[in-house]
Amino acid sequence: MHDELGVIPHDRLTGRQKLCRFIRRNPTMLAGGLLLAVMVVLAMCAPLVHTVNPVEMKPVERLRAPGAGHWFGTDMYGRDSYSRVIYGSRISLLVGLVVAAVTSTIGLIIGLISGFVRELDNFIMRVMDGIMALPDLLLAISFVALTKASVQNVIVALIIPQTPRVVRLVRSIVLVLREQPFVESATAMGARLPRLLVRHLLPNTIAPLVVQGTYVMASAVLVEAALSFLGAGTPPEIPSWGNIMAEARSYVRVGFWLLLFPGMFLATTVLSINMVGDGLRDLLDPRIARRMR
Amino acid sequence: MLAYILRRILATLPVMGIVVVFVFLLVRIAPGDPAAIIAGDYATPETIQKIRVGLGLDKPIHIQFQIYVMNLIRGDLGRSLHSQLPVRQLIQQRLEPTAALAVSTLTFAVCLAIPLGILAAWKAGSFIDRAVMVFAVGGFSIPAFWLGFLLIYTFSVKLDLLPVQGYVSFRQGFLPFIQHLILPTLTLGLIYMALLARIARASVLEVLQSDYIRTANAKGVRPISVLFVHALKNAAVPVVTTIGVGFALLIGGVVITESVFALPGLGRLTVDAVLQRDYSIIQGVTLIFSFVYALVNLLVDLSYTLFDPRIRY
Repeated sequence: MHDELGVIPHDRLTGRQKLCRFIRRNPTMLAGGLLLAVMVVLAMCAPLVHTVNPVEMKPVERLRAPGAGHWFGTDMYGRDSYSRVIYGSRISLLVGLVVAAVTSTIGLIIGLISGFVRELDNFIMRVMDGIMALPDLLLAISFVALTKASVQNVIVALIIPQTPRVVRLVRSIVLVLREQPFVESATAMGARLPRLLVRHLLPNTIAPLVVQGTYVMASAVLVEAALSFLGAGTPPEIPSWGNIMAEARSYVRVGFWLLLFPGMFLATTVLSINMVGDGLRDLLDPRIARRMR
Repeated sequence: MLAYILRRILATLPVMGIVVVFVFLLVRIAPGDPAAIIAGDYATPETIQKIRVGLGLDKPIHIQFQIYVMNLIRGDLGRSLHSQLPVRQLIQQRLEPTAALAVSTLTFAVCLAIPLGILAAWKAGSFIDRAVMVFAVGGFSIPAFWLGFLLIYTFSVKLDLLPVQGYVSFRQGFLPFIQHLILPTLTLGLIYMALLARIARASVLEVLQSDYIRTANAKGVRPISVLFVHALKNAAVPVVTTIGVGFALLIGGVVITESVFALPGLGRLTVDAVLQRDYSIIQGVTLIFSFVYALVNLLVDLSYTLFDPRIRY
């Protein structure tokens, strides 16, 4: 079964051996993925994991330290911090996922068009450069300042600065690919623009797009929390990690647990997303390079 | 050489033009009537109309744009909607703390990240390398405001070593100036350092595979010389690019850090303006930050020729 080098060729491995090899080669990605999955499950099953109503105020129990009844303590209005953190994860993960998905889709479309249709390319890239010239947070803040504070507006405010990056990525791939023989032969066989874009170019963009998508998601989660912390994000009635920490900031001395736990969850979530992104990138990169050669 | 510099500066102008258009359009494009939003929920139609006239929103859009650009050329950034003070004056007042924070953060991050990255690349695969990578990924995932509060809690509340918040100008005493700046610098600097160390490591790692490095080692050049004279110069371009691109993150980080540590800088000005819906200030600060960002990237582009004489445009 072993070849000359003592290595078992890939197609001779059992399913179980393939799994073990995958785990050994991509520990960070799997650890990140597992952590992220735990976060998502907690968020989705929020009512089932021993939480109470996150907005119910019980002033009698204000500012209790973490203990038996309240695992993460209570805040200045007597609300259970643990429940607020768990429910807060819903907003953060939702915003992160939606922003990543929409940015990837819009960026893909614009990038494909920009890379292939030379007449529009210059104009599109100038606009993208202009957007990228504005610092992310400021752009998001400006947008939210002009509209009512709501989760939808935060999502839109986060999509705008992230889209140019995806557009650039897709465009750079298309620019390389459109000179390839397979595009030329497809055109010669009568393929028109839409078919070329969708059937031939799009599949080659999926892998880098997914990797970039994870980074966009990580960034979106962080920026949403920052916006909420500054008061320009999720409205205060809806618990979000940034919100919770904004309210807790005056209580550094007397109730530090209120700042500790949301931040810990936030950092862990972003870290797990980054770990998955890095692992995916290492996994997919050599394959892309091999395919394009 | 001079021609190259001029060409690079000219290339920045269209981008700045687009930024100006964008900032102008932002008020007019966003859904909802900006005058109504600024006036608040309980304003009467007369108040809204007054605000609209005050913002010049009742004129046709190309006239508005003309007025806007004319004012910009004269350096007039408008007046704050709330205090009626010139935006330019407000910005000038708040510039010092922000500049101090930005400069100290950049210095701290660059001076520590690059040697760390080089060290990790040199000892690739070792414990140091792993530690730096963990720091890089971890540091970049930590929210700046959380790190800030952690540091405040540790050093100010528990250990009582440093002041909790506030800013003291260095004209009022060098030691208090430093004391008030340490924690904010650490907060922002650690995150920026994580990003830079990672890029530095990757870049130096790639350069160390080159033939000329192998030649230098074979010749018997000392490792320090190999690293800092031969490798660093060639690895510099991606690192300097990241410094430039990461500057946008730095600006965002400055806004957050100033909020956490109550530094009276441009970031706080922006946040207060957002909460008060004071759009003139937001417009002015966004423009200023974008100009600085464009300037930094221009300097980065120009510095490429220092590191790699082969690069020409």
